[in-house]
Amino acid sequence: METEAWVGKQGGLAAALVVLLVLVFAQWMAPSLAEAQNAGAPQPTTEPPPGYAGSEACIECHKDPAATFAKTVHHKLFLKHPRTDKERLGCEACHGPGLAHGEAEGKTLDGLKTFGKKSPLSVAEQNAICLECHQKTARLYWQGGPHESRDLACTDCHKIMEAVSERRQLAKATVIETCSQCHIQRRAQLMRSSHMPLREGKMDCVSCHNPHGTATEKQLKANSVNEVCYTCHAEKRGPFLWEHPPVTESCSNCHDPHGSNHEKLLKVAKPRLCQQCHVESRHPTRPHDPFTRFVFNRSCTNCHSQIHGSNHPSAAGRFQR
Amino acid sequence: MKRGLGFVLGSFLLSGFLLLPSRAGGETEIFGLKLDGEVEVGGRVFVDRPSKRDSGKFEEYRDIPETGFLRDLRLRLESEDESYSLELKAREAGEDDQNFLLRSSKIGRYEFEFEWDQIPHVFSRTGRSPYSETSRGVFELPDAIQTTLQGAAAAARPGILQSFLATEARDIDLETRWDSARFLLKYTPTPDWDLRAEYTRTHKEGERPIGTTFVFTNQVELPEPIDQTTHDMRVTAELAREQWQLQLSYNLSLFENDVDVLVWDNPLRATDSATLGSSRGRLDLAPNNIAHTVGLTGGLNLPMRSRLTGTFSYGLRLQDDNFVPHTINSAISDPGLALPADSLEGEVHTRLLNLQFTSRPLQDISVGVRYRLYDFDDQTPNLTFPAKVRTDMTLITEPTTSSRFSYTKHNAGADVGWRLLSPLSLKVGYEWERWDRDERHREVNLTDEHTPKVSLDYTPLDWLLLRASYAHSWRRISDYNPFAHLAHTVTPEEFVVDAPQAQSTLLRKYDQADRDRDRVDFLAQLTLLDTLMITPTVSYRNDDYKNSALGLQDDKSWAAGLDISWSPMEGFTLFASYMREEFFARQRSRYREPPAQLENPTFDWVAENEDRIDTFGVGIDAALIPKKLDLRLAWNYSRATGTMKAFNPVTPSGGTAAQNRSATAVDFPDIEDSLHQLEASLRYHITPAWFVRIGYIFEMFDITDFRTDDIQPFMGSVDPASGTSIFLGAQVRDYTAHILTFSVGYKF
Repeated sequence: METEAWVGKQGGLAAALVVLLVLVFAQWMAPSLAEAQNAGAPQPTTEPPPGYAGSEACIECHKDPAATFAKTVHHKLFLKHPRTDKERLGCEACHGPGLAHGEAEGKTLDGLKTFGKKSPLSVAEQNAICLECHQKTARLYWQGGPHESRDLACTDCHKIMEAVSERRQLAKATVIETCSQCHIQRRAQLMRSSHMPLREGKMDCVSCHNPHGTATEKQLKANSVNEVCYTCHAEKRGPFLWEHPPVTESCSNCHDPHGSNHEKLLKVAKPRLCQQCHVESRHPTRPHDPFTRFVFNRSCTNCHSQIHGSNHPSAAGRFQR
Repeated sequence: MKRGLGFVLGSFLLSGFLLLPSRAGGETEIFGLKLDGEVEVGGRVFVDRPSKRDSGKFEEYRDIPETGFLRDLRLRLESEDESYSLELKAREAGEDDQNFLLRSSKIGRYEFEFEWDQIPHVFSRTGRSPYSETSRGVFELPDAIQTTLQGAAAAARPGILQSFLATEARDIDLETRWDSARFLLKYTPTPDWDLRAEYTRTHKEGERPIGTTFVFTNQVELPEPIDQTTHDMRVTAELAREQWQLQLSYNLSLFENDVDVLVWDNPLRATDSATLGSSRGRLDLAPNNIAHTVGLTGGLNLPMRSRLTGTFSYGLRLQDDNFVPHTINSAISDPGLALPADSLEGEVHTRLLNLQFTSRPLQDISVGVRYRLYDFDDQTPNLTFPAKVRTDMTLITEPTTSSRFSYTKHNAGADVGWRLLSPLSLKVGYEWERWDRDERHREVNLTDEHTPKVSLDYTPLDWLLLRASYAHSWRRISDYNPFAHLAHTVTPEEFVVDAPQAQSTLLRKYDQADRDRDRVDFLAQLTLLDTLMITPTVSYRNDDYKNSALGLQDDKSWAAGLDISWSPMEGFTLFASYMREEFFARQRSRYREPPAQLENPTFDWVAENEDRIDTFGVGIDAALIPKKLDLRLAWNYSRATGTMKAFNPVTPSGGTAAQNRSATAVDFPDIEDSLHQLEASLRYHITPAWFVRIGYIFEMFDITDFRTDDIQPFMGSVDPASGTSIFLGAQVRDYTAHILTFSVGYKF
């Protein structure tokens, strides 16, 4: 009961904080909301600006790509429900002014911006076009991130002109297939006997990573390795009365989250893993015969089961309670 | 009754959709809204199904019943102008791994999602236990066996226990299921604003194995009851303008455990004794806890294609569950067992500061600098316990003080990239990482790791991309305090340099040891013929713990693989992949037995752990008859061998025969496993809307693991010292499955 009251109190405080945040932002937003009402309303058809041909002119010649593009969210937004002047440019919002290209019946690409390996634009220039709209939310840390710094183009992972995936305009049907274009070893790890449910379709790479870059190493979505893990494994968060220091510092000291041949995603099987750090005396230091209770079944955690930390007053140093 | 529910539902929907009016062009309409979607219902038949005992690994994260099923359901309602949409998706409906998603959106304005997801997790289906769970978390044995074993001679106990387990150990399920309900609301009042609120409730329920002990020879493995709920709420508000962006976020995570403790009968004791042991044990399960995290992130575009990005985040973690008493053994009492506090009042503060500056001052030059600080400040009060009771058996009147392990981690780096030639980019960089730990409680106060690195990206031809990188790092530590191991469990006054349990002064724990690391990565992408892509990749990592006389000394791995994707014609794709990985770790230890054999160098032993894995994949996606008959064939195979060898550099000597024997290292048997997965399906489009599909799935999993292959509740015949212990017998077993599936689908 006491615990429930404590939890309820924490939850109440949190809820109050959330309401306060919402109210604060509602106040900030109020002027913008009025604008929003107008911004969202269908805009009257206007002539394209000088140098621009208009999307209908593009579609006249590029019927096939236009047909596949019609199934994408960009089409619906840019060509049917544009909110800004930029979006109202339609095809030319990304590809640049196409009037010269159209008047030349496609014989010149002057003024046009193309994407892909054969584009004369550098990767940074191609990406800058996407970032004009998408430099926010998950892409705040794109510049300087591991992928951007290796000249990865947005179009290496995303396909804009065709809805290959259900969501996110990916280049492949799923997140895992998209990431596996380069991270082939990680895909192979999904087949390991000890694994999280990625190959079963319950998780994917972006369950833990933001491939556009974050404030944390390995493009993890939370502030530390452990905080990512606690998203699903909050029972390990503690703090505990008795902490196991390498656990507190990083789950990856012992586990390989991408897959392992050892139980519980451990990098090395027990007891050897534990014996890499425990050279006290007696049984932790013994090399052991394989068919003893120190090795078979759960090995060290046959007894020391509370290895991630314990709140029991008498568990000090041994994690057996 | 739940089984087949999806099939019934799907069939009903399928029939219903057929009655809907069609629009010109084949679209379907309902209430003036466009409706499209797909529903596929069918059934599966096992030609060869793993037995229930063998199905643990087969259904580890899945539910594959032999019944009708709703394979896939996708419905989408859209307004005439395509601005509003409502989507419903369902997978594996009616099965334990079902997933439902409801999404409503207005393009460019808002999006609402509700998702329900279930993930089963089967640990083993061979578990057996003689215990009865009389209330949640309380496991009891018949009094008679406890009384009998308590009164029996030590030599007779294994036989008695073995007979008891042979008749009284009952099958138990060792599995959990995670049920998640997720709500998401995204609102974009203008393109500049993004507001997002997400709430996920995850409830985990079931049983999983947990080990408990009284003494070495009295271990009890139990099915830990899992009844846990995590509430996760995230709200984010972002304002993004062309030149700057600002994002504010808050995350609340609340963990509740409805089973606080595990209590179980000691098979060897019917009554409590202060000297002979306890009749029961009590273990404290994961405490409730809560975490708040707020974050502010901003990005600012600067001249010369520069950008400054920064994050400040603060986190607070709290835990205040009431302590359980030191022991459940009623015969043990001592004034020192009075608890110094009712609860921990656990409090951890985390702070993250991340700053990153990148710039492309010239077309072919890029620079980047970054600094990151993560501070983990455990402000939980230290508590001193004047006495404790080890495993409910032994009173120890020696004070113990808890320790908090605060640390600060600094990362900084800089890199410069040059486009030397049009197709050639070179990047050189430097990274620094420092761990600054509380010097009282971990062995090393300060570690510094320096990593210069270089990478090359070369695109000499349109169809060829080469990426290579090399990083060398060296980590050096400040003084290593080998007695920190004692310092964090006893009060300073009790600190004894040569206490038997002190760790060897030669040990260097690998996360705090000097280390030299080399890492090489290479990847090539050959895009031949626009339709053929070949991607070879190689990586190598070597960690040399050069100053670790004991502990992990060498850790290296390499991987090489190839991925091929070929689409020679429209409607035909062939894909194949292979990856070879090898991992090797060498560690050195010393058998130490007080008082006389603590530093006998002949008692040193070395373990070499090696894993070798091959992973193959090949498949075809083909339109055998365009728009009529599709074939999908995919075969994946993975095999792994783990070896754990051990040897003594010098034959152990100088101790008693028993001590010399204990110091002698032997190899462990190899651990091998392999998984074949073959999936084939033929889909025939009767009409553009209707299709039928037949499928065949073959899976075969083999495992040889000496640790669990023969695990039984009674293991006294394998290890005589385990003759008075009870295990669950949770094996991981081979399985083979041949499954035929057939389904009918309708797209509209």
